[in-house]
Amino acid sequence: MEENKMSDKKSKDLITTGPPSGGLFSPQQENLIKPLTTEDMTQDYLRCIQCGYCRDVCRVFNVTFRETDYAGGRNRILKSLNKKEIPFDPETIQDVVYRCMLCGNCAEVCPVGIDTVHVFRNFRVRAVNGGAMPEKLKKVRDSVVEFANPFMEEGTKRHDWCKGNACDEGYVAWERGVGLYRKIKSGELKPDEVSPNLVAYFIGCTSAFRNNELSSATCRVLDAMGADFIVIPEEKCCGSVLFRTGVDDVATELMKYNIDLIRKAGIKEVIFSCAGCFSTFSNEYQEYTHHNLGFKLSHVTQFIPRFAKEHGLYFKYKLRSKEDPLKITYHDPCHLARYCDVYEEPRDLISMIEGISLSEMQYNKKMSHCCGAGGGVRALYGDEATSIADSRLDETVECWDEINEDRLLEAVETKAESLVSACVFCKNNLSNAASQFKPDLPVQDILQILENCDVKRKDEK
Amino acid sequence: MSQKKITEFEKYTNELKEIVSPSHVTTDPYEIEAATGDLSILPKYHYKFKEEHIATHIVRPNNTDQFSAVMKLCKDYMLPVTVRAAGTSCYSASTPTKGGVVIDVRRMNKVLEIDSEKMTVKCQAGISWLKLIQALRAKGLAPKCYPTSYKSSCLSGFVVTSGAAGIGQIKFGSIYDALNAVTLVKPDGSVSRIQKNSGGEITLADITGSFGIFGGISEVELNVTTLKTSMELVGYGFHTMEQASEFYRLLKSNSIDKPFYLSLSDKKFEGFSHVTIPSRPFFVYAVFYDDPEVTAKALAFSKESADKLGGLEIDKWYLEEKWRDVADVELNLGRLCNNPIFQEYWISDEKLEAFYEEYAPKVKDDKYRNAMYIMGGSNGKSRIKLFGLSDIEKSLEFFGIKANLHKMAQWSYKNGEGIYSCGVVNTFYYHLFNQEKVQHMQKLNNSVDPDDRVNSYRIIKTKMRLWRIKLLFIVAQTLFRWA
Ligand SMILES: Cc1cc2nc3c(=O)[nH]c(=O)nc-3n(C[C@H](O)[C@H](O)[C@H](O)COP(=O)(O)OP(=O)(O)OC[C@H]3O[C@@H](n4cnc5c(N)ncnc54)[C@H](O)[C@@H]3O)c2cc1C
Ligand code: SF4
Ligand code: SF4
Repeated sequence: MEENKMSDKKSKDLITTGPPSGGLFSPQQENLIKPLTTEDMTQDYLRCIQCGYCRDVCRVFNVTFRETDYAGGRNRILKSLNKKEIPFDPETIQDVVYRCMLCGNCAEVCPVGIDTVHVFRNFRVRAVNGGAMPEKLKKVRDSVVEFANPFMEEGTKRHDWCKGNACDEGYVAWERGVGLYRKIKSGELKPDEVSPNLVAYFIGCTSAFRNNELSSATCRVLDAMGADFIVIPEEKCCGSVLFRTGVDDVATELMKYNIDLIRKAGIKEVIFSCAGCFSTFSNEYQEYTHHNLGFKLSHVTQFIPRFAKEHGLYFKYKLRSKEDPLKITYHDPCHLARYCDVYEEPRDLISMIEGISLSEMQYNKKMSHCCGAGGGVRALYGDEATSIADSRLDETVECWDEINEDRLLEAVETKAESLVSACVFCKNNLSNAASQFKPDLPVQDILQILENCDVKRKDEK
Repeated sequence: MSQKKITEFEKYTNELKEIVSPSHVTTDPYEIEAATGDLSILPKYHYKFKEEHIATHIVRPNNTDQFSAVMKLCKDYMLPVTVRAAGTSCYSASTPTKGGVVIDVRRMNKVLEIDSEKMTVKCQAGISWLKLIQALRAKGLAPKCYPTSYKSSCLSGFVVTSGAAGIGQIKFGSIYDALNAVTLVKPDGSVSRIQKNSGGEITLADITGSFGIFGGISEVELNVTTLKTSMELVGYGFHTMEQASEFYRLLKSNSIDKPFYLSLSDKKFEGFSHVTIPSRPFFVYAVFYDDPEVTAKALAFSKESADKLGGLEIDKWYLEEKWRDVADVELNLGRLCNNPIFQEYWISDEKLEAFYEEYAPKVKDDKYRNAMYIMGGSNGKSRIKLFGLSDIEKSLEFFGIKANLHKMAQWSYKNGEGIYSCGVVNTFYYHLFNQEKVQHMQKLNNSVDPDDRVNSYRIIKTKMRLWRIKLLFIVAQTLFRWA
């Protein structure tokens, strides 16, 4: 009998009881032909057909309604610049270049498969080279060049967050780090003799200088779990903020420094609480080394559940019980989710916490809405960033308890008691909006939940 | 610009800002560049010599009052106006043709009232279909019909274009059938509500397909339907266009349950975007959406009919993916080229084979990558979309394809059929072949917009001359063949 030459694969996430709910899902990429793309993807904008499918998902457009603020409009400008139909004016073009969170939601829905983040990042590099750099970003660049952090803080103060009893677990880990580097330097220990179980915690500038609660929480949780970890004593800014704003040359220098620093200590795995640093290592650093970094990268939301499983651990949230759990909803940070494909592990981790229950926001995982902070938008367009964050907070009112194929019809709506994320920038921007508009909705990092947990052995249950 | 003109420009810019707020009036050249184009690329070049495709202002009103005040101000200063929604209707429909002000309606995106009892919804004109679908869904309701571009297009864009093919039209009728009323902001700024059978000078039938020449729509009231409980997807492959068309017509006209969505595509259409595709040259796809007992019967009928015609059943996963990605299918062709060129024809169902017979020899030698996609429409018609995958940089191929598409347009009109959408680019076809409609619309337009300021060069006025087009295409095709 004649047969269709088709595979027996199954499709996922289908809504088959109603009109299509495009916008909630990205297209079925698996069976789509790979797009014709230029080698470095930076010319992909030429294929943009101005369909506007990426408009609805663009949170910036939804606030400003400006055609230059969504991917298709920006691509149109790129095309016209390319054909020299419009001039490049370093002053007036800045909004076109920078009013974008580089969140990647547009790439997710683009039917012709344009990697918009790549395209727009390259646009920033061109813009910077053409003299179109906002003053605020120049200050950030200058700070990173001078101090190796974007906050104009003395590099020697990078680990003050754990000193003077501020975080004993962090301080001890920092001392272990100092000890490791001393031994390597003196030849007492060879890099290949370093234990494969030892993990190095890369703090990142924001947790080091501004959000100490996250570096402290990370160290306390790792310590409570019994992980063998150090703090990297001489880490410098990962360069994320510069890569995001188009100053690649300075960022590349920092990248080389950090790679060398980690490699020479024989570290086999680096863990991150900052989604931005993690994403920069996972993308720019990996690309630079042709995926041959020489050490493994894990975000804490990957490392902690893996470690817990391997060691038979679980977490008990001290402030609520199994019977009366805290209903949280999880906000996928762009840097962790769309940039690094980390969707399930944070949810796995949440499921390991007794006393916490997870409900999903309507827009989650690949279609999660950005918090509004990314790509420099928080720094350059504060009001827009806050409006975007506020609209994300609105989504916590209608969460879904169960997700299945026909979830929109069958799921039960609930209101989340807390919004949890795994990125310091999301936390800051969403908390800022919550403090103004939704003071009753706590915004937390997953580490702050874990910090309030007892670590238990499963056999103790 | 003279000093006097500059002063006047500043004056009305400020007045516009007073009406809609400064952040929603722009003269920024980048924003104007982005907000004056659409999917088609030719008009940009066509009007380039006069730079009339570029607006001077983009204005985003928030409600009917602001819309009306902006329109009035434009009349006072004699500024040309182009009303724009999502800009997806192609053929430069939402691109300025005389410069002036673009009124962007997308800030007007609110649902004003859903009446679940009467099953009606009243909303602002710039609401996106996606938002409307989701708002209705929350009340157990759904629009009766909408375009497959629903991921970005807006309600008003569909109301003033024909809205006769897409999702829902075969089952529930066209957008005209679903319309209850619109609020029209006329070119002089006056506002009137036009209802079905309200008996004014301009009727709802005139509004649908008017391409905005009578003014801007600020609000729309629609009849809606309920969410159904069962959906069945049907897909069969066929060896010939005759078998496929026959099956397509059987599904379309069956008395059990009309398809919610129906398409017929050639293998190239599927193959240019998908890795694994149905093996036969023609593929008919249908979605039935109703109560379980009705869709079950429709499914059985489809199977029986397909068996009789020797159809080969397509894997379910392919059908499911197709439904989920139904908005994307046409656009997926853009994965393989910079400029997918296309033309849409509006053809009676019984002439599908005749159309194909005319078309097939023109692409037989595959001089360019081509594809065909037919979508079911209302009133015994279908929208046939022909594609050529090209690049504007390859001008010989580009215009060679255009010439082919033009020939099919001529064939369509000669055979009592036509093209689906007018826009700016296709207006000359109307002038050649739709004289009656043009005269009727011209008469109405004379009374509401005697200066021809609003959405000019749609339907009633054209810049293109057939002899020029013919000459261009003859040269293009000769050169293309030769090359
Ligand atoms: C992938 C794809 C699929 C499509 N599928 C379909 C389909 O299934 N069926 C179909 O019929 N079409 C389809 N289209 C064409 C197009 O999407 C529809 O016509 C759509 O309804 C246009 O809506 P819009 O918001 O983009 O309007 P626009 O393109 O912005 O405007 C269309 C016309 O309406 C005028 N206009 C818009 N708003 C107003 C207003 N408020 N007052 C007065 N005039 C106004 C504009 O000036 C313009 O002339 C498709 C297009 C694409 C790209
Ligand atoms: S979805 Fe892709 S093709 Fe469509 S406008 Fe956006 S970037 Fe362009
Ligand atoms: S990356 Fe995000 S913010 Fe930027 S255009 Fe795309 S969706 Fe909008």
